[in-house]
Amino acid sequence: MLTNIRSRSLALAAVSVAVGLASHPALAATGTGTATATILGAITVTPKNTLAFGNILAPAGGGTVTLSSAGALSSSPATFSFFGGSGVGTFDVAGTAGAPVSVSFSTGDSLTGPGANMALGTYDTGATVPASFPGSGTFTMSVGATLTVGVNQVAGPYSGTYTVTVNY
Amino acid sequence: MLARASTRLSPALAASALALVTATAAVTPAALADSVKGRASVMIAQAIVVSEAAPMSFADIAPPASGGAVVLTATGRISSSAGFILRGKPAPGTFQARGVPHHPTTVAVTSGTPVIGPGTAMRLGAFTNDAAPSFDGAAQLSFAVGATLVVNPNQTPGQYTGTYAVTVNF
Repeated sequence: MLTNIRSRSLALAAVSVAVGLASHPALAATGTGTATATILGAITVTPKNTLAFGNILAPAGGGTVTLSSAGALSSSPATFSFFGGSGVGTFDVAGTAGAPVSVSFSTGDSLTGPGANMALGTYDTGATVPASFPGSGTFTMSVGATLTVGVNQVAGPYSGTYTVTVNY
Repeated sequence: MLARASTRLSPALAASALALVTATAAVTPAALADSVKGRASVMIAQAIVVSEAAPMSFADIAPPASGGAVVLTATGRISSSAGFILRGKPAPGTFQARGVPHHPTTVAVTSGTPVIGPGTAMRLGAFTNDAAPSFDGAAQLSFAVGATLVVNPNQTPGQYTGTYAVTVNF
């Protein structure tokens, strides 16, 4: 009889100890949080080719000449004659791969020369600007524009500048 | 004493264990953008203009009774078929044209009015010229024209004048 009682007490004690050890791990849980950041580097834009409308014979009443981003010349009215020497403006652009690309241009530009100033504007990059920088981090942008030729525009060479800004 | 074990995680602990935190630049500092100037250009051309600088002259010719041909080159060298006496200072016709700098050009010369005077009209033909294949950097083109004059038999002496046409094209 003594022996039996002793066994039961021991068994009870063992159970209570086991319960005490297991209770805290069941309350807690851990997980892993991840933080990322993309550091963007400075963008660089390098001008390459001049935006050239080439040799143009204009009607006396003037009009507009458009050079598309693909290099096609057209005019309004259609009576302008083109004698070659035209080419789109090009820029090499470098930035951080995967980052978005935003391009903007100056306004109020003009070409100056022997006669009256001619307004330059309506810049066109067509499909040459990607939505984001490619894996190489660089791309080449082509720029066309529209030139307004005046009445009896004095013949000769005219030139000027325009500003292109590239941002993320 | 048995402790009660809670098996539920607190909601706050569960949320942070599952969340990913990402940080990206929402606004690009102006210092990262780049602005550069590009150049633009155009050459406004005028329609080609051509004008004579000096007239073509065969100078003085004493032909044989049978007539013949007198050849004047663009360089001003004169020669003839047999029996002619050539005197004076012959000269090719010279012209100035203005077009588009460095642009290719073609020059064509054709007969105009015959060479007329006191006697039978003489024919002027077989024109030659020494024009360059393109306008120079200043859009200029200078050239000389030569020709062959056909003198008729027993050509009446006196002053004769004719014309010819010069066409300069792109």
